[in-house]
Amino acid sequence: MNNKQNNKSQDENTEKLKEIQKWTQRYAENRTLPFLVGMLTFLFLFCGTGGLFYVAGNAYRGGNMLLFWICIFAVVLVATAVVLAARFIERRLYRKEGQITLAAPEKTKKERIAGWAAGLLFGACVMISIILVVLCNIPIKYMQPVSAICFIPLLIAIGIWQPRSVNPAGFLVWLWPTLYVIHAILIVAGVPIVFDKPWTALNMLIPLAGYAILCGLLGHIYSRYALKKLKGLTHLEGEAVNGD
Amino acid sequence: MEIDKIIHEPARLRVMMILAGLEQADFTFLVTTLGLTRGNLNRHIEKLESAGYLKVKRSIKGKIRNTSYQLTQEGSKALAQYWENLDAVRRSGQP
Repeated sequence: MNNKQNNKSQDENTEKLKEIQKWTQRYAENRTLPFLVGMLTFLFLFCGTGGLFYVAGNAYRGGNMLLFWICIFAVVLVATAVVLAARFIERRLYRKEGQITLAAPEKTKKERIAGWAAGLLFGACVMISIILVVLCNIPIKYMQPVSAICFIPLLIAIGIWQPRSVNPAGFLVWLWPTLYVIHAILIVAGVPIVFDKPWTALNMLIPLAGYAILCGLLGHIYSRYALKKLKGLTHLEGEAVNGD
Repeated sequence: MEIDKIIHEPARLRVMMILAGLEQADFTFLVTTLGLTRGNLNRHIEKLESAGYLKVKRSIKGKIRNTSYQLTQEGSKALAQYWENLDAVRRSGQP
């Protein structure tokens, strides 16, 4: 009886040990702090310099050249400070936890080309949607839905093809484009989530950067959970740990 | 059926399993994840390295020295073989 119980508990322990690899990978895949710092840097640069450029433009039109040059100097100062702060923070990320590199599968030529094509397609869609709004008098509320059109075939393509280079990033690769598409559907369905002047920039900024930050945060939270699981499996309490 | 005694030791098995999920990990990551003392981990790593299961990469980032570890091909094979043998032993009900 005792032997049976011992065997069962040994089997359970062995199966648990096999999970170490899985949780290590999940933790590594979701270390999103560098991505979050990158996104926040972009936002700070966008908001900081955008505001200053707006004031500089008004000063230039009003003939106040002193204020104009002060604003330009401030733009350079803000941009430098934000970039330096981001680099300072990035160097300190995960310092206590240690550095790891995820084994990225070698991308095939087809996958590399598809990656570039997808990026260019999305960039083109964002630009086309802005041009359509500005030049063709398309209502501003459709700016984001137009840019989201390219995501639908992209999501279907990823779903059917499932390239190996996409899989390591886990479910978060799916989440951001899915949220982007849902946002577009809600706008078309008439849900009041469109910002009017002077906040029109938020119509693109929230789906682009907002959802990206949300996904990054979810990834970070999941990485904490994965690390907790991993430590639960790897911590050696009461076991022989001397190098013999 | 012989169980690889180098891998079978609990701390070394865990080091191998962590590295199997990654391309490389540094000393700090291994020491904090395993909860071992630095000296203990060093001894285990030396054993794995001398068996040819681990590759050590030393680098300097700014003023900070960094030591990273990577599973060798031999190490990956040995780990897969270890699990295969262990499962066979479990199936046959041997102690």
